[in-house]
Amino acid sequence: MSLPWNIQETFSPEEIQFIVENEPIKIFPRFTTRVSLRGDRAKPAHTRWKLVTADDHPLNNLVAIQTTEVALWMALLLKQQGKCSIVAPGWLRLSQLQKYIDYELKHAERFSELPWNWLVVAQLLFSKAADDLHDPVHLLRGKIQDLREIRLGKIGQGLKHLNESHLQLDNLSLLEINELRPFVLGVMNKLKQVHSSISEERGSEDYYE
Amino acid sequence: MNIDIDDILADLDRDTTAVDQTLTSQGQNDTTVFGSDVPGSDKAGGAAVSPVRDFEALMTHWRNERLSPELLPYPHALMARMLRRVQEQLEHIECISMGYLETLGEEDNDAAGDSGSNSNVLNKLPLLCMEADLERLKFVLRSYVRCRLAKVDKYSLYLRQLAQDNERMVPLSGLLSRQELEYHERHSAILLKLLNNTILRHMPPELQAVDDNEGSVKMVEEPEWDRFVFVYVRGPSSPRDPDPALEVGPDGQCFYNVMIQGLREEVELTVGGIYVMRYNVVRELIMEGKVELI
Amino acid sequence: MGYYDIDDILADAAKFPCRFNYAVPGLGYLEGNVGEEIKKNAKVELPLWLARILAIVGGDEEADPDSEGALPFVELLAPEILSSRVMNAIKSSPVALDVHSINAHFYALAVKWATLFDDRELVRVLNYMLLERTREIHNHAASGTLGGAPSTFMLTLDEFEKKLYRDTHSGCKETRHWIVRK
Repeated sequence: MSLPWNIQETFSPEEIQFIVENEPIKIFPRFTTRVSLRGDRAKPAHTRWKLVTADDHPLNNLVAIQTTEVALWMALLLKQQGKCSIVAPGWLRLSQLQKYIDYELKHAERFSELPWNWLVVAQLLFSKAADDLHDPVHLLRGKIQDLREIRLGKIGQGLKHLNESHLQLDNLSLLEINELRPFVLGVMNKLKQVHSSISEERGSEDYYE
Repeated sequence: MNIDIDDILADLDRDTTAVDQTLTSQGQNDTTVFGSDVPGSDKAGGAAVSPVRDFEALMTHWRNERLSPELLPYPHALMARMLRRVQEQLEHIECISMGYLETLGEEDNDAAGDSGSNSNVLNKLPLLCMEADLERLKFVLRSYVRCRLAKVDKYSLYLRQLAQDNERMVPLSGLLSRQELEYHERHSAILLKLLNNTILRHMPPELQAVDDNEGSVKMVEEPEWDRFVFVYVRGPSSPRDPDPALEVGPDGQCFYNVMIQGLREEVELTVGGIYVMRYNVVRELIMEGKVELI
Repeated sequence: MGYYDIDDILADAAKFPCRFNYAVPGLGYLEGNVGEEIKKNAKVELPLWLARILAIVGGDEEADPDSEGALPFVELLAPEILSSRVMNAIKSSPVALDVHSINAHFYALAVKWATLFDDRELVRVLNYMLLERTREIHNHAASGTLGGAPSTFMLTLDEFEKKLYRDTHSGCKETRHWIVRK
């Protein structure tokens, strides 16, 4: 088989990570690539960056300790090489996460407006850029774990709303959707099959009665 | 023929990318994600193609392909550009690394000190990142092609039927790449020959059909058109273009009105929203790039 | 669902009770009387794929020329799996029901029956049953306890439910593993 059956019609968590890694994030580079105008333009002192999946302009104009935005995978790679520090996103701090937790607890029927990639970004930064975070990583991990569990519980509660027509699921993150996909689609496809067994015409008559 | 024209257009597009990328990536992007498949539309409104936009378009194609029940049209021009870019980047990286080796040798001869190792880093680091960058592109391309091949296999007989359908708007050569078409034709011929040699020719003639769709259940497996999918409502690709299908609610929210056939139910798909919806309900919007599968 | 769907084929092999509307020569072997005729009103169990056709196709019109459309060969009778006893059990406690022992292709058969008889009440019951039982399946699949003794609920799943459990479990497991590895 040209594509393994278990990732047909869905993604693996690693592929979700791949998708999220294309998103931009701010970094403090520890080196400069910008060529000064006075310098010899014909022959730069180092290799020019040329990329095929991301914008290479910022990378050719890095100035040490000046923030710039690059793709997350690039930020993680530079971080690994000790060539930058990552600016942790504003939502990834204890006080903010607590606000999200409070919102999740207060609104039983809704999800807080966390970024669509919160879980993946948090996990990646925890493991690869823990020293760049605003707060101690073990405390942040705890909050993220709390958020995940509260939301999982809410998802479990929401499953009674599955139906044969459609569903609106705003503010679910990509990883959560992917995790939920086989179940939600399996049940809704079955419900659709069950309901399509009875004739349409009479269904609409009932509707107008 | 179609493909050849695409190749030529892709070549032209490549030329425009020679312009400094900062200009193109900052400029307005007129190309819709799917519009880029149509020859010529890449350059609609004068917006040039950039590697970044192309990669974003490829990601969307990849994700839609993985999650849609049917085989989606092959983006000929986009893929031609992508494959060429991989080749060029490979050569570029090779060139740099050879040059790098040379300078490294010289520095060794000079018994390089601290300043030498610093410039080493500045030379080695871009190379490392460019290799990672290229690997990422190659991964998506591979996964995309594999996913399409799996569908070509799965819908082998269905595609043969499509090929015979003269009333179709899009010929099979538009749906598949040249290589996919060749693979499909040879593979399905071999498969039918195998079925015929091993079983069918030993059966009475009236039981030999493998494509009889007259019975209660069709023999030829079609895509499950009304299967549920997760969708993200992206909205029109360019805010400047008026989208006649887009409606505005009293609260200022933009939405598309769709009809669920079978249930006779109308649903508003709000821009920015996430829905679980039957594929056939949003198929047109997906083709137009206004809705994405997630 | 599809031509080669093995579960659909297996479901169609389930036997349903039928009553013959005609005496048919030579079909006695269906009740164990080889070589004899099957009598009118004889009750036999036939696989659904056969019973369905015989229950739709009209019989001998000359035998009963006065009737408006001739009676079909057989009349399909409500099977035990869809009896009021089972329906009541579903309504009272769907999660406690041992669906697997009733029939391994329960949903598939129920849908086929609902299609044949346009049975709205059955669809209503199935909708309720699906939502209640699949939530329980989700709980089991998401909690990730594997390797221990299977709970009694897990032994009561029909084929659709088993597949749903497997798919859900592998999705949840992979996500959990990804998070732990990070």
